[in-house]
Amino acid sequence: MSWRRIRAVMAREGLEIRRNKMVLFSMALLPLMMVAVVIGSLLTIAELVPADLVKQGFTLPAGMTGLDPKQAVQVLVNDQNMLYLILTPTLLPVVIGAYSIIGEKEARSLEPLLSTPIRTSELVLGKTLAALAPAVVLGLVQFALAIAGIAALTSPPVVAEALRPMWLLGALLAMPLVAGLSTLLAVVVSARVNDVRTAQAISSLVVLPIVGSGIAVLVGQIYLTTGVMVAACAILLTLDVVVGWVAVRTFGRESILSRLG
Amino acid sequence: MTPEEPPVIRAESLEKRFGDRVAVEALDLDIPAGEVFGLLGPNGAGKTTTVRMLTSLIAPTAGRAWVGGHAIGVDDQAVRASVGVLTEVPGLYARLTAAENLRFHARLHGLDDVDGRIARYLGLLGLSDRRDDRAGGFSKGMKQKLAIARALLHDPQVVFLDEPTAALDPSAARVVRDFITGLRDAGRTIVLCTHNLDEAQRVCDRIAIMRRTILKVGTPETLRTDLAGNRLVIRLRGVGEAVAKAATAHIPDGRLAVTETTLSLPTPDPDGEAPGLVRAVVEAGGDVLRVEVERPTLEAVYLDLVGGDEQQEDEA
Repeated sequence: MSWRRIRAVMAREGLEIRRNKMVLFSMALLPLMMVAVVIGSLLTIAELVPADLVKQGFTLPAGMTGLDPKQAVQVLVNDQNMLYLILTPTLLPVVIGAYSIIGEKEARSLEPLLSTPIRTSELVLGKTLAALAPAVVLGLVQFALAIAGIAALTSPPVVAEALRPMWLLGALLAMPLVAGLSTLLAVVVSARVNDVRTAQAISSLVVLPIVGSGIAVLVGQIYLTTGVMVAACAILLTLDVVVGWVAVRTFGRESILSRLG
Repeated sequence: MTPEEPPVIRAESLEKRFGDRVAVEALDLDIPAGEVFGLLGPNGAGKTTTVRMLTSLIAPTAGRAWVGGHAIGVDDQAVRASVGVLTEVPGLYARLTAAENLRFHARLHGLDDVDGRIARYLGLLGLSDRRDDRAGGFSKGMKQKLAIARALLHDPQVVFLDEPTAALDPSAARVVRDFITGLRDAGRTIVLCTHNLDEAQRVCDRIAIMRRTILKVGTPETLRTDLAGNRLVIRLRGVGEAVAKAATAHIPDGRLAVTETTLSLPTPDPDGEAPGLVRAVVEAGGDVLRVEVERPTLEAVYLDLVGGDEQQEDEA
């Protein structure tokens, strides 16, 4: 495998993405909205908490006994939002990933590309990383902005809770891994359909199981801990490797070129 | 090509099927180094499929082939490294500049001195001043020239050009044809797919007329003469009985066609046969107006071989 060729694919895709302002705008919009949700929820929901909540019979969850009721609610609200922040980058690379192969086919640039010595694994990896990189960068910027917002609006104990190992692991490892999974699935779809619209429609569906897992956490079906996050990362890494392998193995150069001329 | 020197391209019984449809069958080819070889055929004749097989883009269903000494289906990456391909549509990245399009392909081929190569080929094709303009804004001719530069950037041993002048205006087509001729002079082996008979005749050293398989291969001249032959035509003020009798006596094998004002003789050697026949006609009192040699066009040969009705199958 040649990293020079992988970097070449990434560089070219990166240039095209940077020059397509609509793609950049649509990718940046959702993370910015999520930061707004984090800040907005702190400004509204947490502010509604009555000061005498404990006296009214509210029991603080285990591990939050050192916090006052307002801080506890802020932490609970943040915990919900943190999961959104981790899952948001899952959606960002789907449009680019879905376009990656079938888009080139439609633009008739795929045949000249496949006529070069590039290997299938290099092409798939280059395309995946090119779509994933901006999503991860935006995801990390989104996380940093959200933490900055939390720091500005709450107290140090709440910020410390937002930066506990589980969420750092989520932001720095689980987020790229889950975004990588959705990107790979979009690339697989892109290599197997006949037009860009179909690729984008199907790719938007492949993120549902991923988002569904997030919802399971939100509704209490899965209780997140650092251990669960480590296990989730291990599962995601395995899935990334398996789906990446499937993407390379099922990439039919001949069928892609032959389909629809 | 000397007997010791293997052909740059060799195909043996190459076949490609798409399901039940046979796109190419029983295709045998030997193309020596430095030749411009034309693949001539109607739409759906299998030209593009043949090129895709020979560039390791698609796998043959049967048969074997070698390009630049590398076996198709065995050493595909080496095959792709040794060929340059101009596809039917330029397939450029519209948002990238001319230089960026070329740089991308240079990196995929692992080339050194990328900027030098880009400058050289853009210069050769007259695109130096458009180096930093986006390809999406180019005219069709400029896009085609940029795609040719891309196909040649890595100095491939073999260049496949699929309909290089299709959709170009006459002046742009001429520039591209001149460039192909220059490549031949520089010793490159070129496979040119076209259904432009005039272009094939002007540019190619040898032409293969194909329809699923190769129907006939030869130089443009031998294809014309071997298949349709030349025709010696003597135009007279009038062909009287004495003239007709003398001419028929001179050519007694039944080849001579006689009308009221012409004598027409199909012959592979018009220069050899003309003096004797003209002398016989003049001695018989004929008033010769003109002596002409009608050479069959490649078009006539082509239509004779592939038939007038072109296949309408979609190519792979």
